[in-house]
Amino acid sequence: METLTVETNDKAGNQNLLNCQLSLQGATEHPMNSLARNKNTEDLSAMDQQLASKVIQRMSALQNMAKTGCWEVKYALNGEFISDSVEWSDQVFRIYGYEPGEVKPNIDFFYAHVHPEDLDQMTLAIAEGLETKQCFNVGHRVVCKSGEVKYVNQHGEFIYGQEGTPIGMIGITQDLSEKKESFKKLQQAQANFRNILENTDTGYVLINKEFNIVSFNDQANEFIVSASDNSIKVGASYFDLIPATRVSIVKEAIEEIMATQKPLSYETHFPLKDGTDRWLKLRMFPIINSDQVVTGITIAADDITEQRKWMLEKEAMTNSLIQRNKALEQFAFIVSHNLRAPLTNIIGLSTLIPELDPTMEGYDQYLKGLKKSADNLDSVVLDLNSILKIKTDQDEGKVEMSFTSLLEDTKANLSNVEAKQTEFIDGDFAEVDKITTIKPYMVSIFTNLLTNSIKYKKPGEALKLSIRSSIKKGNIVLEFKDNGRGIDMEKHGEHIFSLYKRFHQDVEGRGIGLYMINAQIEAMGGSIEIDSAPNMGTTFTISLPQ
Amino acid sequence: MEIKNTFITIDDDPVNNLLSKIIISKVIDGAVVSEFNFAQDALDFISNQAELPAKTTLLLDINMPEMSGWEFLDAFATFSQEVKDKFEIYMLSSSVDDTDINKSKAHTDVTGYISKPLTMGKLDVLFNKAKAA
Repeated sequence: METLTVETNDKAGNQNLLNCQLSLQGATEHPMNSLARNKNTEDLSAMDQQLASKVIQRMSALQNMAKTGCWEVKYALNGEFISDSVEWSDQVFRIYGYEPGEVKPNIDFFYAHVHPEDLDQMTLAIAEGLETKQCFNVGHRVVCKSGEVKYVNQHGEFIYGQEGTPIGMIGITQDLSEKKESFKKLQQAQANFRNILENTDTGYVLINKEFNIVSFNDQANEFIVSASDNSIKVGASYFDLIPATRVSIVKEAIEEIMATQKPLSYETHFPLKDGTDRWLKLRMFPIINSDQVVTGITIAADDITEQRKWMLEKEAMTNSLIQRNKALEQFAFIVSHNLRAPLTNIIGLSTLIPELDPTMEGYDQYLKGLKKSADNLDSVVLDLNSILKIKTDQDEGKVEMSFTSLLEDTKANLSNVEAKQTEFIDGDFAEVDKITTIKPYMVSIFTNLLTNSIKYKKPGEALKLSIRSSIKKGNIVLEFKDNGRGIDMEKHGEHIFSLYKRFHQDVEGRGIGLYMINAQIEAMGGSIEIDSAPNMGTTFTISLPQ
Repeated sequence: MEIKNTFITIDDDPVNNLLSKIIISKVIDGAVVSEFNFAQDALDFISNQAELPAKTTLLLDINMPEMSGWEFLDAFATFSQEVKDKFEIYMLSSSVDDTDINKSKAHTDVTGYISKPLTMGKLDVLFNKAKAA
């Protein structure tokens, strides 16, 4: 048996190598036989050549498509490659950046194209192949004709002669550049993606259909760690991360996303280890594969605590602006009525003076009317001044006061008529007696509510006013409860604390007291509520910050 | 002239009622003026009268506690057309608020809006206009 290399030319005129194993018959063959055989061989050879040509064409196309070429080199008995025996298929040339047949490759030429850093591993692989007599496989870089660096893989194997000595080496060269490129791109894309994922304020958790965690980022873990001793683990159930009470709701939400394939978002909050509340906006998106099947869910969590705080502040600011606006409207109303009404009286009456006879009937009444209007005008101006003073009083600062002594002082300052009722007023300040607040406001509150209870007591029935202090939800709560005439809340409810609104015409009053105390309580950051009904008494509940 | 000498003034401010009364009596000879500090009292007065004068001019304040001028008009609207026809209602207010003025002009039962104070000149204009019409 002898291994021969047969050179053939394909239709394009390219040289190709075929490895053939031929069995040589003994030289004693009969010439006729030999002749006949030769004749047959010629016939066969024509057919073979046709067949071989087809095979070669297909091989070439395959090599091209697979970006793989084959090569061969002879090995001399002295243990060295025969340099000039290097044969490359067309595709090898192309991989190295040459036109097929452009150069005549040899061993030096081959090594010259191996990237210098990869030379060692190349020689090592060949040596190993020789030693183990097995196919070797080595990946290395190739510096092409143009200087471009390509990644290739060499599969090679030594071939041996009859004596078992190596007579050559054959193999294939695979161009891995494209694969390597796409692998690098994939790696880069993954790195980019990871970078984005880890450098965002949004926490991400990916779960599969079984609600188990597939992936997550550091921010998501931070959300969990800040609230519990738990941390996120790949493979664990997503439900381990959320409070037990919420599991069924969240599960329902996720199942809905899987069923509808539509994203869902909601806001939730949970206490942190430091006791503060953290608000998260959770957005859940279905991961849908190319078969339109949901394979999992992406959960994105954003910390909206600050945003919420800011929103609440904005809301409070808006409310305060609305209040201010209302106050301005009220001020316009006061100008329109309470200032203008007495003023128009004065104008009207004084215009008439030259027309009137001082001796006429009612002239005295007329002058009294003029005086009364002037007085009214003055008291409105004074009222406005005290309303404006609410702001200045606020700047005076807070002092500690005792409800017990405040009640005693208020009683002592009542008019003589009112003072007769003080025995029906009692205070219970056992739960809380001290408050640190703005003194003029507290005096105003006690004075106004005490005089109101006395003024609007039920005729023919003894007054009973009880004042009680307590602490509720961290606030000091004062309750003024009387058994007086009460106010029709359905009719007057919205005007209770409005300026110059009065609810009982038969008793003197200006309609400023409740307006003032409401404004003062608001300035202290507190609130006042009223519960009343005609003939059922009135209860004012004032809540003040401690 | 004779048929227009009945007046009703409704204002919680007695001084304004007094002023209106003096001015009306100065402009209209033999005017009969009934003054009310509470709108409800005026409503009762109207519904309790056995026979109403052919024409009564009613001067109505807008801002009053308990029953405002608008609330009075709501109650007045429930009277029969025959009764309503016997009244000519003018809003008499110190309000400088456009909404009050426009609301008065739009109200079917209101004839006009008079800005306080009522003067002899303003009343004159009203009655000359009324006569001309």
